[in-house]
Amino acid sequence: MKTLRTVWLKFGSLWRRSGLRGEIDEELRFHLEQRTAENVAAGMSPENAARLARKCFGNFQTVREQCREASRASFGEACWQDARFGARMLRKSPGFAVAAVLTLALGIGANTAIFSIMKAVLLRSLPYRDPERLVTVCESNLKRGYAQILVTPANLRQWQKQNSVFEQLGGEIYESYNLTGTEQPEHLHAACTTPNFFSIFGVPPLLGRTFVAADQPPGGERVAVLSYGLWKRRFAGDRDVIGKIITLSGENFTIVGIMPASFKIFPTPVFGLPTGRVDPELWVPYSGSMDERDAHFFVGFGRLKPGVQLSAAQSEMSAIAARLDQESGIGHGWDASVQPLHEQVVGNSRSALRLLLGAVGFVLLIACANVANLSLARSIARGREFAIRSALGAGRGRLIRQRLVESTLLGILGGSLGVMLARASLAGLLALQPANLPRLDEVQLDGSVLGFTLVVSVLAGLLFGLAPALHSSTPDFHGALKETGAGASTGHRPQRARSFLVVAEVALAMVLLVGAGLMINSFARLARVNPGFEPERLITFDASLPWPGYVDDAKRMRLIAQLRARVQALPGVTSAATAYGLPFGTMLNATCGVLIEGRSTSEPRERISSAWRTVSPGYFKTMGVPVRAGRAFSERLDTQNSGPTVVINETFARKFFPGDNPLGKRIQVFTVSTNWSEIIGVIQDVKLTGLDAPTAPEIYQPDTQQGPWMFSLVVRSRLPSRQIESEVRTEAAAIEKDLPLFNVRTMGEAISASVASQRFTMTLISLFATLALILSAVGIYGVVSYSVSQRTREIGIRMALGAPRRSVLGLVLQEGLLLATLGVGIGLAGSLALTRFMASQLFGVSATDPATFLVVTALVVSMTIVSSYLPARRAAKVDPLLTLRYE
Amino acid sequence: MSTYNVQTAMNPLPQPAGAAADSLLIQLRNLEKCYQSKAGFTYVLRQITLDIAEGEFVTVMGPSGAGKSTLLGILGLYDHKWDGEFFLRGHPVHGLKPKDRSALNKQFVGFVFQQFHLLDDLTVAENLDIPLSYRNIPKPERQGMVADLLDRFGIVAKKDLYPAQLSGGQQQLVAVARAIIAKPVLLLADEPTGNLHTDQGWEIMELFKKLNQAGTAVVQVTHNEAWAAYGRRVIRLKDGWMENRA
Repeated sequence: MKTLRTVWLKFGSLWRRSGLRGEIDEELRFHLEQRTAENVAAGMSPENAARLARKCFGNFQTVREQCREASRASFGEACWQDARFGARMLRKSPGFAVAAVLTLALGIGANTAIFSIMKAVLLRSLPYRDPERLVTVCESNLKRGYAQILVTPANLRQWQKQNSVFEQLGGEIYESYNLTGTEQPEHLHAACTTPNFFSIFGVPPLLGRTFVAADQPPGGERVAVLSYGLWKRRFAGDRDVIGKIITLSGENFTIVGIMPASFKIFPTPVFGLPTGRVDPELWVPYSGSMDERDAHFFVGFGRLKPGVQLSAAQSEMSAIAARLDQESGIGHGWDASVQPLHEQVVGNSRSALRLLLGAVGFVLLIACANVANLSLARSIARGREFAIRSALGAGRGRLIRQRLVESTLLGILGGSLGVMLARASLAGLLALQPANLPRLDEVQLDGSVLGFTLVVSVLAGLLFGLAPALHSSTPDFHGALKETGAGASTGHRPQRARSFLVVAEVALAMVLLVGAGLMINSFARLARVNPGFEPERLITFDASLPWPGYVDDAKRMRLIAQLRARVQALPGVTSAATAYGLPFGTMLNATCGVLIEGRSTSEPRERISSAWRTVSPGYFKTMGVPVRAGRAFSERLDTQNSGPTVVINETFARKFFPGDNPLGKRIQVFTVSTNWSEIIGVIQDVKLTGLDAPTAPEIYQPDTQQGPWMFSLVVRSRLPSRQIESEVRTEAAAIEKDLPLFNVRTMGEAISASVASQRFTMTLISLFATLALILSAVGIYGVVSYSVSQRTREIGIRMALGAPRRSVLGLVLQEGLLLATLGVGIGLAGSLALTRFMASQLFGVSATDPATFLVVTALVVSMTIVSSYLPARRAAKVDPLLTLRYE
Repeated sequence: MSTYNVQTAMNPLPQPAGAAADSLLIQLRNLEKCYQSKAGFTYVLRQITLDIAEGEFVTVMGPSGAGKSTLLGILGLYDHKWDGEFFLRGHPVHGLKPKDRSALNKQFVGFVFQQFHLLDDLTVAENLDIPLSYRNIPKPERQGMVADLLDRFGIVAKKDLYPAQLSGGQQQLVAVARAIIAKPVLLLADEPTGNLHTDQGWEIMELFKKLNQAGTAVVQVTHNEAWAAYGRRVIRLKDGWMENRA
């Protein structure tokens, strides 16, 4: 404690001159008083005691001035002197300096890169006014398995009227428009919002205005607010665009405002929203009815009143939701869920990023251990220098400080290079396209990231410098100064410290490797999941029909059938189909209520919930989905004039018709039409939203009986995807010039995008684990190699006495293996303790998977054998005669 | 008290015990030094009783392994593990904590090694500056002292050279300068001419003589009878015992 206080006082003295004067005076007075007291205790009179004390002490004023002068200058100046000397020593040992700086740069650079991502994603406030008051407000129904589900318009309106906790409460609906009336029609992701939508976020427009209550139809003119990106891209940033008319899916809208570039709505994990990333490029006021009670399609956003706690808002909203549930007569457990917006946006990313930060932390520790090892070796080589310094009057603290200043200098150099490495590697990291990580476009190496790097660099310097500093602070005076060479006798202490560091390195690397092994194992299992269809050679297109020309249901169905037929006829196309809601697609995940004939009444509370899709005849064949029972849809049998038909999946059949044949049974599907439909087939389960997502009950209706507004075209073809894309676009334009196809990609790309976050985490952890393995290998090599150089004479004697080379080889390998065994043992225990924290990141593999642990152990042991073999081989080649003659 | 020894001023050392201490620089009473090993105790110094006055020039001689360097290490306050009594200018070293012994060392002692032991990566001027910096002397004052000493020793032209760029004699000259820059009252020299040829040896010994005449007590270890004659008396050691006083 005293040492810490001294260091603190000395640091403080660099800035606190006036305080320092008082401290010196107080200290000197204390010594005088002590001396006087001692003299009195020895029997002197107080006067004589004080006089003798002053005499022994010398001139008080002179001593005080000397102390002040010395204290002011000495500490900072000595640090500067140490830094200059440290820099000179590094210049004179370029090999050591380069190795240490590179090692540190790898560790610090990795930390800087991951921290910059973490800061952008997790730590930065959302770009809204008072973002901590923003929440999402959704419905929830735990009985039906919905923690959060979109809100019905009727409920949203009631919530707006009845709540007292929100300053503003509103919502938006994902919408899709075609920008037409221009040479090149373009599909746009959009959002229909309540009029107060922008007020909730508190972001003013860059140009014009946002929505007002009068904008909401009926009555109001149709208006639109553009995103900054759309304004720049389609209107070249023209400031006179305000007031101009644009045509969206055949309807005219007046542009009233442009939002700033920073304004964006981040995706939230609410059930019902598209699984893919869709960023709205324009906003229009919601024009539908606010009386709709069954359809859930609003994402609710709220701004809490100042001082209102989240728990209070949740309580009130739950009470309102319960009341509305009772009043509606449904009474089926509907509740409200109020969540902080920031948590909603970044919540899913947190565990993965924490895992990565932990991994790079381990890499840095390993790097520090490696550099500490190098520095310890140098401490031994510099034993004479420190013995001389000690002989010249350097105290232990001063020697420690000199080494720490040197190591901090190395740390800062490593940090500087690390920043450059981080800058270079960030582009590569972001190219891995971790789609579910929000705000990646905001990742930058700004002041706070650089501050973090500086702190990490200094701490790393202190950390790896500590062991060498302690070693250098107690030089062996006799041993070091009696040696004529530069080196000095080393003793066992530093070698033990170096061995300890290597054991720690191996243990840390082991934990990282087990983590990486589990992630790789998990990802491999995820990639092997059967999606329920054959994704090879499938290319998909999304389309949204222009509104006014296709109000007629039959017309929509005709257009879709026509497009399908023309594409089907293209050379090289094996088959083509259409659907609303492709697996891994970007359309809303539609659900519907279902009644089973004979089992339930028409009461809404009796409805069961199911995923719902509309597909064309030939869809299952095109997708390669096996029909398990009955038949698939047919152009001939399932028409608008025939009886309504549905196909269900195996999970639906298993769950609602256990031990019964569902074929021929009738169900009522609550979508646009609510006619009773006959179950004509059962298909194999298909993964709709993710390879790791559980399969829900699914219902398929034919799009020959009701035409969707939005649909996807899926084509199985032998042709290259770029060629088929071009030909399909030509066919679509030939049928309807205002029908842009968007979101064109192969099914393989869609599946790949769905596992991008897992791939991102796995790739990075594997990268860091590899780095850790290499650093550990270097560490083991260094220690064993040094040990061999120290034992050359012993090895020479052994060989002179007849030891075979194999025995010498074994002797050295044994040393490396002993270190590795200790490291592996500790690492295994650490892995067992730590990998459970990554259980949520794993799929199909336990956090204590024995096979992974076994493989990683074998890998580390193999690495040790390889690292120890080179010095062992050198030892086995020792010429006993030469060695002994030299000695 | 040295005018610039701040550390001593901040942490006053125990005062000399008795008026008799005023004339003696060093008093050793039954000083013994031994190492413990599995085989038992191995004595390096046995019952050394010795007085050295202020400003005296003493030579220590004896065969290898007699304990000369060990004695010098103890006198220089580098070795703390011994038994007996040791007064330095009246300060009871045997009763001091290691930290206080280091303070005494900084205040009173300068040391010259046979192998010079200059810091290879520091220039001549920086080598001279180092002991002063360890005594927390402000930089302007240090610069003046270094310049003064460079001038006194006639090595101003060498101030920016590194030790490797100097001859053996020049290196030892710098080492002596470094040993006395903090104005010690006791200069210890462990075979200071052992690595020098004869002319350089004479030069160094003449330097010691001048320093001694200026008031610095010198204790040197040497095997050379000619250099030994620079001392006013010779202490001979054998197997750790002090043989006689000449």
